[in-house]
This record gives sequence, structure tokens and C-alpha cells, in this order.
Amino acid sequence: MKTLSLLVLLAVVAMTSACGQIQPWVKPYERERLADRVMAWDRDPIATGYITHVRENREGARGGTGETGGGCGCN
Amino acid sequence: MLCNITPLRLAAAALACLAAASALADVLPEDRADASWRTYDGGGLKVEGPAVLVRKGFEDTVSVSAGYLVDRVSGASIDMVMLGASPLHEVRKQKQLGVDYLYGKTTYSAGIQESIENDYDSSTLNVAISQSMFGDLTTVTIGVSRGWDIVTKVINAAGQKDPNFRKRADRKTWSLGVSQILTRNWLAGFDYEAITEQGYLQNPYRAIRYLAAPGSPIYLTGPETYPGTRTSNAAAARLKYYLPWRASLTGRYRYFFDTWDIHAHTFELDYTQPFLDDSFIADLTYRYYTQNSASFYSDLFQYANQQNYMARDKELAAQDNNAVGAALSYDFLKSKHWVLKKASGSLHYDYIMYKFRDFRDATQRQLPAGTEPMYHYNASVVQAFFSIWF
Repeated sequence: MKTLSLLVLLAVVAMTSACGQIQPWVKPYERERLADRVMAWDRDPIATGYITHVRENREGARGGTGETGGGCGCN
Repeated sequence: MLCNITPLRLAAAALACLAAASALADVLPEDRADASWRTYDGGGLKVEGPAVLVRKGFEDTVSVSAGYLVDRVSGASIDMVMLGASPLHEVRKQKQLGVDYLYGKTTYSAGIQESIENDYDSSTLNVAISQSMFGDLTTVTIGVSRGWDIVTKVINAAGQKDPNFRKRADRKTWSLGVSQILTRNWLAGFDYEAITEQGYLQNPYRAIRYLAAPGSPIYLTGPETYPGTRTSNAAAARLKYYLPWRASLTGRYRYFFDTWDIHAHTFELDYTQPFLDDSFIADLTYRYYTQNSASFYSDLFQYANQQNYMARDKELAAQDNNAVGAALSYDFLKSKHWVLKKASGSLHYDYIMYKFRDFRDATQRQLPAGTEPMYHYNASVVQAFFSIWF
């Protein structure tokens, strides 16, 4: 819980700073490459969801992937 | 004092700041429908079935998604073979519904998911808030989810359940994600997730094994006993780079630890390359995963009641796995036609090599207990799907 408190506090600090004067150092017209589909974090959510489910049911670790939900389909 | 500030209060403060920061418009995910067929084949089990996922937006401020999938599971894992259980034939069905609402630079999301098997029901409710800031260079997402599972036990091949066995497990998840534009060519991301679980957290079909007598070459089996709570933490970082020849390279790392003393590291490298006039896009993936065993895990206990908590689940054993993957997508419709904006077909293949460091192949009963070779198996995961954008 202490770790969670620290992280949430960091998020609050970061968000509060959003109300400040930080200017974007990569302008919108400089983001052409970042908007390219090769730069998408998750181009096919249906495929990512399934492979994450396969991994989480066969490993001890889970989380940190953005996927939610339970169920197993394994024995 | 930090120790007097609860995560809930901090989250409330964060949400208040996020709401106040709303100013300019952002965008919701594209309208899209996917239909897929997936198979998993490995470790004596085969899982196959269809899945569909549809997302549709309304008025540029609301996007609704719905998904449905079926997993048909058959075969017998090494745990079932060891216990002489009949091969498995079961079906898992999962439904999910989600909604995203965009207000200024803030996206509010909520979703519900339900998974039903003949012996395991799971419901999950999740809410999240996502905020773009610093001229859209940074996106912060905070999420909370709650899950309720019901575990029952099938006692014969006809599917009859044990009327006296019905257990519950509850799950709470808190997540924080940050996606960051670093330069014109670099993206970065950070994800943290804490999960707390309470209730019946074990598999009712698994068993421990222990020596029939001190020094005996024979083992007997007995029930597993898990702790009733578990708290997990996962922290992940990712980087993506746009290569000069229009391709991208992604690196990911995740560190996981929990109150069962499992520590795990995951490394992943992805390469994405479009070709043939952008009609095809290919992905190559390599992933390495390693974990130590849980504190109450043992492949072979010395006697029946050696300790309070005892488990022999291979998922809690020390293991390493290496996985390689390849994916190919073909855009056969690239310009608007009737109501369709784009259409593509995709094939994903992943090959995973699981290798255990302290889980032995106990089905080799001709060998003295504790001298069997370490278990390993390979699994293939195939996903074929068709996607349309409208």
C-alpha cells in the first residue's frame, strides 16, 4: 500500500504541474511519425487480449498490461 | 505525513485535478469490428474458439465496445495425468461491454466482463479516467476494478458438481498508466498495477505430492492448501522508436512481486515493418519470462502435513519461458467503399517454450520420487482474424 500511495502521490504532483507553464517540446506538426500506425502501442486489441490471457494463466505474474478480467479455461 | 494519506484520498485529489485540467478536444478509438478464431495447443491441452469485438462511436464523444468469445478446452494437462483424471471437455464463454466518454481532454471509461465455465464463474467491473496534458505529450490513466469469482468442482465425467463445494474469491485492482511522447521518434510508457485477492485462490483439481515414508521412492498425493489472501504488484516500462526506414522497435520490461514471494521479470522486444506499398504489415516478437517459486510451493513434500500452506501448482514453480511470435496483416481495402473505411485480414502465431526449474514430471512413476526429469513443454498459439473499420 505504501508503494501505491507513493505512486498516486507522484501522479497527483504530475497532474498538478499540468496546470503550470510547461510547453510541449514536440509540436503537433512534428508528430507525423508518432501518428503512423507502426507506432501504435496496441494495434490489434483482440489479439493482445488473448495472448495476455494465455500468458497469465500459465505464469505466476500478472498485471501491468492494461488487461482486466478473470476466468481461466484451463486445468 | 505520507503514511496518513490513503490511496483513496490521493486518487480523489488526482481525479479533481484531472477534471479541472480539461480544456481541448481529444479523440476516441476508431469504429472497428474484429472477428477471430484462436487456438492454443500445448502441455496436453487444446483450447480453440471464436471471438468478436465491436467498437462504435457516437457524436465524437461516446464510444461503446462489446465483445464475446468462446473457448472450448479439451485434453489433459500433466497435473490431470498424474492424478489419473479423465480428459477434460469444457467450454468457457466470456461477454464484455465497455463505454468511453470523452469530455475535453478527459476520457472516462467503464466496463463489465463476465466469464462463465461449468466450474468457474468470474465477473469484473472496471472504471478508469484518462487525461491528456502538457500539449498532449502526456496521457495519464488511473483505473480501478473489482472482480467476483465463484469456484465449484466437477466430480465426474458426466459434469456433475460436488453439491458441498462452492467457494468465493474477490479481487480488487488499482492501476496507473502514463504514456509519454519523448521526441519526434520516441514514445515511452509506464504502467503500475496492484491486485489484492481474497478467498479461495487455488485450483480444486490440483494436488501436492509427498513421500510415502522417509527415503521412500514412492509418492502419495494430498490436497493443496493456499493462503486466503494475495497482494500482487506489477511495474512495467515500455519504449517505442520510429526507425528511419519506416518501421518501429519496441522494448518492454515488467517487474512483478507478490506476498507469496514470487518475483518475476519479463523482457519483450517487438519489431514492426510495413511493406509492399503499405498493404502488408509484419510484426516479429521475442519475449523472455522468468520467475522464482512461491514460498509455500514444493515439488515433493517430505510428509503429508509438512507446513500450513502447501502447493504444487506449476504456475507457482520456478520457471523460465521463451516465446517467439510473428504476425502478418494484409489491408485488402484501403480506401472508403460503401460504409467501410478499411478492411484487413491478420494471422498471428506465437510459439512458447516453458521450462520448469523445480517441477518434475511426476507421471514417470518408474523413477524414484524426486529424481524424475524437470518438466517442460511447448505451446503454439494461432490467431486468425478479420477486421473492418467503418
